[in-house]
Amino acid sequence: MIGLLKVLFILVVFVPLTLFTIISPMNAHDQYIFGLVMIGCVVVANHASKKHFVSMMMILVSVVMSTRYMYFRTTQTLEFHSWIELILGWVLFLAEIYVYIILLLSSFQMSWSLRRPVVPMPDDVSTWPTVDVYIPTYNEPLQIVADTVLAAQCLEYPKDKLNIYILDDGRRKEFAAFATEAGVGYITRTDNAHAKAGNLNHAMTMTNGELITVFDCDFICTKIFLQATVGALIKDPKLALIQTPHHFYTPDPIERNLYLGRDIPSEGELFYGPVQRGNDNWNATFFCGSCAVIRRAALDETNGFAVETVTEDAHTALRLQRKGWKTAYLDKVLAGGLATERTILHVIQRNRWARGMIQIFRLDNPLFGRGLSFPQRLCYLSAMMYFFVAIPTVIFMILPLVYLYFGLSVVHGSAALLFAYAMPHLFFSLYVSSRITGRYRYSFWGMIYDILLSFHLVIPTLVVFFSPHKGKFNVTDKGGTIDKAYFDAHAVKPHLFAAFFMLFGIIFGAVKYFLPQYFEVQLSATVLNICWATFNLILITAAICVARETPNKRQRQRLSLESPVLVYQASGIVSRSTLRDLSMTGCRIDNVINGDLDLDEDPITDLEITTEHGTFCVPVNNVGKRDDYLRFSFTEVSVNTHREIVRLLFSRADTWERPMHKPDNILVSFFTVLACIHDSLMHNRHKERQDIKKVEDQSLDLEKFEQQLENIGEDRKEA
Amino acid sequence: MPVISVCSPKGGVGKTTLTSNLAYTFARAGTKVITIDFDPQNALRLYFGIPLSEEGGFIEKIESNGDWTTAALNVGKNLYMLPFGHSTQEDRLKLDSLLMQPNYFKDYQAALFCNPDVLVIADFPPGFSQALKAMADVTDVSVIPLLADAASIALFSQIENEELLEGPFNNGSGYFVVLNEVDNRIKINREIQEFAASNFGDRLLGMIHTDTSVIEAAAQQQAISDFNRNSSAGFDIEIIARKLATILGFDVKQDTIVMQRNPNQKR
Ligand SMILES: Nc1ncnc2c1ncn2[C@@H]1O[C@H](COP(=O)(O)OP(=O)(O)O)[C@@H](O)[C@H]1O
Ligand SMILES: [Mg+2]
Repeated sequence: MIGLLKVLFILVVFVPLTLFTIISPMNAHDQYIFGLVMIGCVVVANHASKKHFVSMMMILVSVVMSTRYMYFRTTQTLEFHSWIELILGWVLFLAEIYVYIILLLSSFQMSWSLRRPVVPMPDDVSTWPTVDVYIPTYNEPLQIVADTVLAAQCLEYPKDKLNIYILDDGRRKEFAAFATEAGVGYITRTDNAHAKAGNLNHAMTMTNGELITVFDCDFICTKIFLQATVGALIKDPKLALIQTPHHFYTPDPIERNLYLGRDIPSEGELFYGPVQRGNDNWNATFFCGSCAVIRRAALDETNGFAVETVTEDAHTALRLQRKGWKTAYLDKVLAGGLATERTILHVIQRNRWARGMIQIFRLDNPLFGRGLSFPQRLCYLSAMMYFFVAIPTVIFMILPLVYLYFGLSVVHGSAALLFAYAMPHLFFSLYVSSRITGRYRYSFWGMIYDILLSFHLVIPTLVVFFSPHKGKFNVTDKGGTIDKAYFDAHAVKPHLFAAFFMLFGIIFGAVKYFLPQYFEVQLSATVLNICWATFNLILITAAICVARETPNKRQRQRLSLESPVLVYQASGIVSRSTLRDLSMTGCRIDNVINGDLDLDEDPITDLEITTEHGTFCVPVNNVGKRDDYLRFSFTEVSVNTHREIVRLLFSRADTWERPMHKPDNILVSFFTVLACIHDSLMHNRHKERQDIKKVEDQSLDLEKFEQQLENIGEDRKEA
Repeated sequence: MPVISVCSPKGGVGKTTLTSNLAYTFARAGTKVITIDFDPQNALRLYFGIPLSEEGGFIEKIESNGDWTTAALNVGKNLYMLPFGHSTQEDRLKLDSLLMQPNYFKDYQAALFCNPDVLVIADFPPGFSQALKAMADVTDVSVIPLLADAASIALFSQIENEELLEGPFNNGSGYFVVLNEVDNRIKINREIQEFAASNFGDRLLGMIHTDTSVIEAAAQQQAISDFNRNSSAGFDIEIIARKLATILGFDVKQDTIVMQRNPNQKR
C-alpha cells in the first residue's frame, strides 16, 4: 500500500514537477532570483542537518538545476553566426555534456556508500585457506622490494598456509639471493610478455594457494592484512576479490611541491573513500592492482589476469564480474606504498591509466556485453568516462581566450542570461560535492589535478580511443630522491604556453573593456570571459607550481617509540637505555652513559633492541651525541635484523591510521590554493619548514652529513 | 627466616657475583640481608669492601660450636655478611663433621636461621659440599647459575635429575636456574638461551648479560649498579631479585621495589 502510494506520488507529483522545473523558460532576472532562492534553500538545509536524506535531496536539486542549465543550453544557445563559431560552440557544448554526464554518474556512484566491516576469521584455523602473496617487480631497487617482502613475512597467518613469492621480471641475481636469504619463493620467467599481468599469470602456474594476494613491490603491509580481508572471502564463496585502499606514505609531487605541508586530502583519497565505497554498494568494486586478495578459483574462470589492456587490474575485475563473481572494498588502510616521486613520472603513470581505461572502454565496454547489472555498468562506465577528462579540461581552459582575442562568441544569447543559468549549475556542483566528499577532496583541487595532466593526455586519449590495440605497459619509477630544488619546465611546457596566452588574453580583454570607444565589444561578455580566464589562470598556475620540484632527501619513515635497548661498548660494558626513535637506517636513544665512560675511548659498537616480538642486535656507529640523546646509524643490517626493523616500523596494525581531514570549506579552499601558489612561487614556506626540521633535528645526522658532503663535492665539480 | 642458596656444579659461573649483587639489591630495597660464604676460598667478603687482611669468619666458632652471628659484619645499611674465615684443612674437616649432624642449623644456629626478618643468601663452593647438603633443610630456594656456553648443555640433565645434592634439592620452592653471560650478538649463545628456555621452562629464573661492569664493580668492591647505574647485568640481577622476592612471598611493589616481607603473611 505504502509502496503504491510512493509510486503514485512519484508519477503524479514528482516527475511532472521536476520536468516543469527543468523546462520552464525564464528571463534573466527571474532565473537569477530562482537560482538564488534555490541556493538559499540548499545552504540552509546543509547547515540544518547532516542526514543522508538531506544529502540525497541536495544531490537531487543539484542534478535538476544542472539539467535545467543543459536544457537551456540546448534550446536557446546553439545559434551561431559563422562556421567557426559553430564549430567552437559545439566543441564547448559537447565538453559541457561530458561534464554533465560525469556529474550524473558520480552522483549515482556516491549516493549510497557501503562501509563494510571486517569479517572475523573463523576460530578453527584448519579451515583457513592457503594464501600466496605475490610481489611483482620489474626494475625497482632491491632496497624497496626488501621492505615489502619482509613485511609480508610478518603477516599473522599460519606459517604452513602462507607462501610469499617475489615475481622478478627483471631476472636479477641479487633478488634471487635475497629471496633465499629471507626464506621466500623466487619466480622469474624467460620473457616479459604482457608485463605485470603476464608476470602474475605466469606465477599462477607455479603456485597453488587458494587465495592470491598482490602487493606491488613498494606496498608494505601491516601484520593484520590477511586476517582483516580473508574472513570475507571465507564467509562468501561467491566473493572473488576484496580490495583495500592504496595509501602513500611519501608525499606525491602535488603534496610535496604545492601543498607544502598543509593538511589537504591527497589525490587518491576521494577514489579510495567515497568512490570505491559507492562502487561496493553496487557490487562494483574495482581491482586496483595491489593490496587486494583474489580467489584463484575465480581467476581460473577468466584465464587469469586480463592481458589485453595496460590497466590489467580494472579489466580483471570487470571480467570477474561479467562471470557473476562479487567484489568487495574494505575501507581500512592495511598497507602503505611510495607515491610517484616527480611530476613527470606522475604524468607518465596517469597516461598509462588513462590509456588503459579508454582501451577497456573501447574493447570491453561495460555498457554492453553479458553479466553485469545496470548499476554495475554505470559504476564501471563512470570510471572509464572519467579518463576522457583531459579533452574537456583543455577546452574549458582555451575557450574564454577565443572571445578575448578574437571576439568570437561561442554561446548564443546575452551574458546576463547565460550567467543566470550557469551560476546555480556551477554553484551546486561545487557546493554539493563539498558536502558529500569534502573530507576526501577539497574544492578546486580536483580541477588542479585534472589540469596538470590534461595537456599531456589529450593526444594519447585520442590515439587510444581510435586505435585501442596500441599501448604499452610502463613501470612507474619509485623511491628516487631529489636533492635540489629545480623547475621541471619540460613537465609543464604546454601549461606555460597556455598560461602565457591567458595572461595576455586577460590584459587584452581588460584593455578592450576600458577603451570601449576603440573596440566593438559586449561589456558584460568581456567581464564574464575575463573572470573565467582569470579563474583558469589561477588553477593552471597552481598546476605549473607542481613542476617546481622541491627536494625530498631520502624518505625515511621514523617511528617514535619507547622500548628497552642495551648499549654495548667496545670494552664489554653493557648498559641499558631507552630507544626513542627508529628508522631503517638508524635510531636515537636516551644518553645513559655514565659521565666518566668516555665514548671516544670506549666507543659503542652494538645495540640490542628488545620488542614484543623478540630481541635483535645490530652493529652501530655513534653519529650524534648530546647530553640527553645519542644517535646511531646502523652499519650492517642482516636480513633478520632488517625484518625486525620492518616489523617495528611498519607491521603494527595501526601503522597507517591517520585522522580524518577537516570538512571542506569552499572559500577557505580557494584561498588555500592562492596561498599555495604564493608560497610555491616565493619558495618561503618550504624554507620555513626546513628550518623547523633543523631545529627539531639538531643532532648530527650521518646521512644528511654525507649528503652534504656529496653536494659540496658536486658543487665543486660544477665550479 | 627465608633462605636462598646459590650453588652450581661448576666454578666461575657467577655464584659469588649473583650472591653479592642479590644482597645489594635486597638491602637497597629495604630488606635486611645477611650473606654467608660457605666457600673456603673466603672471597665473598671482597665483594663487600672488607679488606683482604681481615680474615675472621664463622670457621673460628667451630672449635667452640658457638653462635656464628657473633662473626657477622655489618657491611652497609640492611646489609650483613658472614665470611668463611681463614681456615686450615683441619678446620674444614671439623666443620664437615659438625654439619654431618642432622638439623645442625636449626638446632645450633637458631639465632641466624630463626630470625624471620632477615633474608639469608648463602654462597657455596662449586659442586657438592657438606655445607650445601646441611643447608638443604633450611633453604627455601636454590638458585643455580650456569653459563650460556656449549659446555653447560651437558649439565642440564644433571641439574634436572637433581644430582648436585645426591637427592632432592630441598623441601622449599625447589631449584631455579639462572643463565649467566648471555650475549645476543653470538648465534650459538642465542641458541643455548632458547634451548635452556625450552628445557627448564618456568624453572629458568632469568638471564644475565655478559657485562664488563660486573668485573669492574668487583674490582672496585662495589655493587654493579654503583659502578654503572645502567648496567645491563645489574638490571638483570634486579629482575631476578624481584622474581625471588615473589617466590618467597615478599611484598613486591612495581615502582618502588619494596621487598620487605608481607606483614600479613605467616610462614
Ligand atoms: N655477567 C657477567 N658478565 C661479565 N663477567 C662476569 C659475569 N658474571 C660473572 N662474571 C665474572 O666471572 C668471574 C667468575 O664469577 P664468580 O661470581 O666469581 O663465579 P663463581 O662464584 O661461580 O666462581 C668473575 O670474574 C666475575 O666477575
Ligand atoms: Mg665463588
